[in-house]
Amino acid sequence: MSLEPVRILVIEDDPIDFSLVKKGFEGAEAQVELFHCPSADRVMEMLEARACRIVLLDLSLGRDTGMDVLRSIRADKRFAILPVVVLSSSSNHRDIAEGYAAGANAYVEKPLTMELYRQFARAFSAFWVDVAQLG
Amino acid sequence: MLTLPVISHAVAAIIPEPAFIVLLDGRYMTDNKAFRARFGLAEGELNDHRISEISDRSLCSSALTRLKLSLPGIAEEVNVIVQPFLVRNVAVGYCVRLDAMSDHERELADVGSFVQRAVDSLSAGVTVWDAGDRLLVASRQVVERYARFGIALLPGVDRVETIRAALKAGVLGDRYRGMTISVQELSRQRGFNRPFISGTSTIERVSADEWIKISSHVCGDDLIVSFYETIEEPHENQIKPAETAEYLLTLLRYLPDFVVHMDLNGKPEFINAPFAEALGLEGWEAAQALSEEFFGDTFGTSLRDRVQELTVNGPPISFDQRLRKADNTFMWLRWSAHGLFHGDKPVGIVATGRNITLEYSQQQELKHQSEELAKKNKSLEQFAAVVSHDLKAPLRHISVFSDMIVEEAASGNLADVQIYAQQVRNSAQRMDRVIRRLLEYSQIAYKIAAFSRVNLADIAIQAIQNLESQIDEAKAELLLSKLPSINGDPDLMRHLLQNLIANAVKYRRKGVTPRVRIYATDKGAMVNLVVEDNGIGVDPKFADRIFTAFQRLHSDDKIYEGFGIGLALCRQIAESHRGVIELDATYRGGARFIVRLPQDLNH
Repeated sequence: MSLEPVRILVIEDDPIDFSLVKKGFEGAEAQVELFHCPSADRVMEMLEARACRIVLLDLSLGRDTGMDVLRSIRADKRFAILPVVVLSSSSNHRDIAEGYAAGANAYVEKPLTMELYRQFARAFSAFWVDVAQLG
Repeated sequence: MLTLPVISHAVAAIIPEPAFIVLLDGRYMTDNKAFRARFGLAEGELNDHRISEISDRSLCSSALTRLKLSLPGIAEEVNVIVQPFLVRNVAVGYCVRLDAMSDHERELADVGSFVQRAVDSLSAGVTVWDAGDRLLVASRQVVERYARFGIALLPGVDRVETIRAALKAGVLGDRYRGMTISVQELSRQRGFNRPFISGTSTIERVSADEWIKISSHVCGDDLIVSFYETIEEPHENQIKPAETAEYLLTLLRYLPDFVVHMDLNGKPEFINAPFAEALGLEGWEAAQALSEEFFGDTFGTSLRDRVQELTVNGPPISFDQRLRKADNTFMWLRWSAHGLFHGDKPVGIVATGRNITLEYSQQQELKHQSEELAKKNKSLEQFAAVVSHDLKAPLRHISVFSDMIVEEAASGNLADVQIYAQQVRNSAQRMDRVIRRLLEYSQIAYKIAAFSRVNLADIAIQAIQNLESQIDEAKAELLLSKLPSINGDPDLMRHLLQNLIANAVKYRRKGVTPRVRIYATDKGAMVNLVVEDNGIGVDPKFADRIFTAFQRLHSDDKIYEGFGIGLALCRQIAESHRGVIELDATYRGGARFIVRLPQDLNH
């Protein structure tokens, strides 16, 4: 287990949803530090500036869909192997398939209760923070 | 003045050997110095004397005739060569020279008379013309036929002019008598196209019981040989090309399609009556007044290049053209151009054009409708995605926050419960708004526009009345200028104006009385309908986005909610009227929306 918290960029245009994610991670007492990126056009800038190790990405970001953001992350040599976990309100199988095809490392539907948010945060950090080797 | 005596004197004077000039009727006109010196005559001594051996047109058909003449005052008979004396292709007399040729020259000169005799011995009449379309030889039979109508078939006469005169005089029957045939144009184009050469024979009825079959052939590229055969009355089923031609011309005249025959440069040789009429020309002959440029403009410069594609048995070239008619209206034509070939050498183009204006407009209408449908389908898809998200997000929030209320209540921690309950209420209200938008959208976006004459001023007043409470609440001032009438759907137009005015009132500046101006400017075929306010305006970088269906510019509904759907619908309405809507990004005093609509929408 690393002593430094893992820096995660949360790309999410809905402030309520970001607050729920934040609450979830707090409740799970995960060793993470969250950075909120509220719009697509700030993604690259924040990835560079915040040196995040993992990205949590919402798929519905207004005009620029999360899918486009994912593709542009993958198209950038610096972030081509950065772990990206999609957190989406859509359980549409087409979106799921497209998400993986665009290079998502995991696809998760947004939870419907706070307990499920905490569960997600625990599972996320158990794998990505405690188990996985990050590139 | 170049009178006949003057010309005769001049001609006689330049002939080196002894010679004299005789008029057509055999009257002695003048002689030269050599002649007088040879026989010791005084000047004018033989003038007006009649020479019986040379009279009427009997010697006109021969290039050269040898005669023995007795002349008054000259003891011995003299050997002479008689040649027709032409002035501008018209025989006016004979030039008579003393036969002083060498034996060799005599033999050569005699060749002509052998040919003449051979030609005369044929049962069919024969004419032979050189590459320059000048008569070389004509058999007596033909010469006499032409002579009966006052046409002299003399060596050297122009073929086209002669035939034209002959047709007019009635040599080939009454059908052509008095007819004017414009052939200058045609005769200028001998390179490709030698007129009156049909390649097949024509049968003409020259009088009640006399029929003549004429066939013309081009030998190589030079000589033209025509045969005239008198035949029995043709059988009913025998083709009479001249009548067939006339029949075909009649067909062309009544054919509603346009027909044009052009040479390879696009110069018209024939256009049929409907086409001439559409172009405002009188009669097909007028087509010859049309320039190559005209057809270049009409068919586009590409025609000349495309002519290369035409082959003997190949497919026609097909293309559509928008033609401006003489009355300044337009019509769409679908042309089909075929090549005309002489052997495998292209010599011209025949194009037929069909009026497809109606089909074209229907096609355009269909295209427009299918584009509209595709657009609607696409926005429906987008709509479904956004609605599912927009409904799902608040629903999820309600679920999470009510769950949190339960959790907090269970643990006895009630401090945040009120905040969570407020979030639940907000989310429910957001869902309600989304559902309202959904209903609004389905009412407007899928309405099939029903067009009628619409007075925009009436529509604007209705829209303002519907917004009365909002306008009163904002204490907004509205300035409605005179608006024109357009072809449009009144419900959709009212919805468009209502949306724009509602936005103008809604996005007002704090502490500033909202002023909304509604006016129109005339831009030729378009009407610019303008709704302008002094409100907070729209960031120019969103100038395009605000019209995109259901795209939220910001997830915080309080800021931009309302733009998304309202303006997207406005754009759909403008487009279904074949217009556009845009934000005037240069306007800084607030927001200015311009709807450009066609003045006359033909549906």
